[in-house]
Amino acid sequence: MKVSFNELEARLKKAAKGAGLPWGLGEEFAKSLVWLAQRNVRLDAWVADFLKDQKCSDQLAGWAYELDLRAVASEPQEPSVGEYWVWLGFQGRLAKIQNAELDFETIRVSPVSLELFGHSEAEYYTQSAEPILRADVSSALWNELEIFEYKTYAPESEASRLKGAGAGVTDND
Amino acid sequence: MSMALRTPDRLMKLNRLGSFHPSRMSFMHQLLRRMGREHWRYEQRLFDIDERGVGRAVLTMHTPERSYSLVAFAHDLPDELRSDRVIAQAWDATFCLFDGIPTAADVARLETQVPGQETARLTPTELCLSRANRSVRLWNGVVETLSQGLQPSLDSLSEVGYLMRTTAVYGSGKFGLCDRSLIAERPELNAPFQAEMLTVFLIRQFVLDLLNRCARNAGGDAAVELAPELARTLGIGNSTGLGMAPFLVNHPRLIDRWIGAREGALAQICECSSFAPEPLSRALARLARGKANLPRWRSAHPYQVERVAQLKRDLDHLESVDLSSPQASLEWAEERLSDEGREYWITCLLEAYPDITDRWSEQMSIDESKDYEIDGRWTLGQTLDAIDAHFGWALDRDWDQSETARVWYVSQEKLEPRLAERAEEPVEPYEQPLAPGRDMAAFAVALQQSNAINLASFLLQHPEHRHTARRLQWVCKSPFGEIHDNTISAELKPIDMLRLKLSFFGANYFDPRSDRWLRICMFADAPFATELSASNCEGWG
Repeated sequence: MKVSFNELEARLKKAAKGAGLPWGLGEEFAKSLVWLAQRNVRLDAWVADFLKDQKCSDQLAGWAYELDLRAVASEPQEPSVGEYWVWLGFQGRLAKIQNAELDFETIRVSPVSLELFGHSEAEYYTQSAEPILRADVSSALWNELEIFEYKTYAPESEASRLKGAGAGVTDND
Repeated sequence: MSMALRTPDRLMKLNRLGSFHPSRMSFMHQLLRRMGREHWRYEQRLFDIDERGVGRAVLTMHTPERSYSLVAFAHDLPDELRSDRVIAQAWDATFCLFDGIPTAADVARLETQVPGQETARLTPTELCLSRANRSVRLWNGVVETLSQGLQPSLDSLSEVGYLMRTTAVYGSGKFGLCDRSLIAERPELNAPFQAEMLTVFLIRQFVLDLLNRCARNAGGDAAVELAPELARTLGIGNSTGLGMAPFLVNHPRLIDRWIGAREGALAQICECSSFAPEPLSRALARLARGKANLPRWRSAHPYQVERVAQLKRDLDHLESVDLSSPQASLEWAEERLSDEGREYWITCLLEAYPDITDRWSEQMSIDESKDYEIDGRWTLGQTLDAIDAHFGWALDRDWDQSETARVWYVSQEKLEPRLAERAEEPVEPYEQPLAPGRDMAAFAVALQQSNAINLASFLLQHPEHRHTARRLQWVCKSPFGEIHDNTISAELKPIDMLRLKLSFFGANYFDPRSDRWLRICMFADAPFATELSASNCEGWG
């Protein structure tokens, strides 16, 4: 399915929080994936798998640390699909900040583009000459992220409905 | 107060921000000036409304380069289903703003999506999504009066101020709408919320056309249309609750552009050593218009009744304002008036110097995707100095129980932002990051206890402070973007936050219904799309 980049970023940020990450790391996670989506990387189950991995918090904190220092983070060794792509998203953002090309063994990222050379993860990426107007997200992933997102929302109650939003019993004019 | 003293610490208090009035910098006013000066052309391409007032319409504005179309659907809504809340599921009318001219297939597709509103899936050719409900107090009575060949009284119209009110106007990629980044470079959409304002402007035209059609349906040849001078006094109402409040906290760099542009214009205006006749005449004309319109600002809420009364006293008092120079008049207002009057005089000054104000109005947007990342090369000392410089007001508080009495959260049902009493409702685990003062104070304490060599190393050990660290660095460059008040205090009045944003939209006649939701009016006194021209696109409202 196709979603707007704004929707994608909002859902990813909240899903990360729902998965137990602090808001700030969720923001880094979301921005990195939006960078990928804007270059036509298809987001699939690997996104949720990454969030469910116990290492994801430390990995995100580590990649964010390198980005904070404007340094390249080492390519992960024998990464899962999710680790590979999220790491790549961070490098793409670094390339954008530095307005430079970054070369890795089988990848080149620049401020606006991404090139994979015979890489196995290329199944999720299609280079496109056309501007990318929407993010390509599998329906299953979108629904799974929503489940995480809903963990950040308070359960409904009549009292909350009346008191918390402030409107009276009659909203009608 | 000299311009040198107009610092964020003085100006960014909620009581002051909640006293802002619309001005020519407001987004509605910017839109109308552009439409009038560029001679945008209005076209009603479709108006297929049946005898029940149900159907569809396409209203198009043609710019010199492009076209934008409001696609409208009018429904037959039972009274008991009418609600302004996000939890509503049906409305009297639903809308979207289409990028271009929709084909019949587009309209058919949109008819399957737009009436569902929050359940809709839209595409990049749709820019905005909205809905509106009739004023039960006014609609039926005006239809009946017109159907009998009579005009309603101005007083009855002024009692409400609008025939229909929107309860949301969505843009920026929500529900699959076009992302702002894809259209922000268009000159006509670069200023903030121009697509949303255009949507409401065209909704106002649709509402008038629908009213006249319903009157004709009811009265046949005996019916008359609403007189233009009466119609023009009506705006589009809006019912705004807490949903708008998080925006002010979540977009400090954008808010800084709005308020910074206003302060920049004022500073340049105050460089004029005296009031020339024409600017003086414009300022006084704006003041006179405010006084003439004040009786139409009606509210039953005691908080607003007192503010309107105070504004009236201030507007009367402004007859004695020191007019030796703009600077002198501003200082006079700051010394002698309440916040309501001070802010209204600022609106008059901005109106007095349109060339200055309009140039600064061009600087109210920002690309928030730029400079997003944290600079972790700061030392901890540098970070603490920055907190002290920009968040000293937060460090001065104890952050005890009364200071943290409230908690912002989002409800599971319809994703509605709400504000709870922390001690009374079990929602703390779901707290949203909307308390920058408290969080910055906690960040400062953690920094003082750390021996990390730089901010990056600190955040590696304490990722829970990343969100706050990023905000600090933003606010260092965007000092007018931070509200210098406690957003989770027991004394917080959320309507002050809402009024700040709404004043920049250009909305007026704020009518609080509680401390956390209010009704306002948009485009009241503005020309309609059918009559808009270069000569009437400003000087209204």
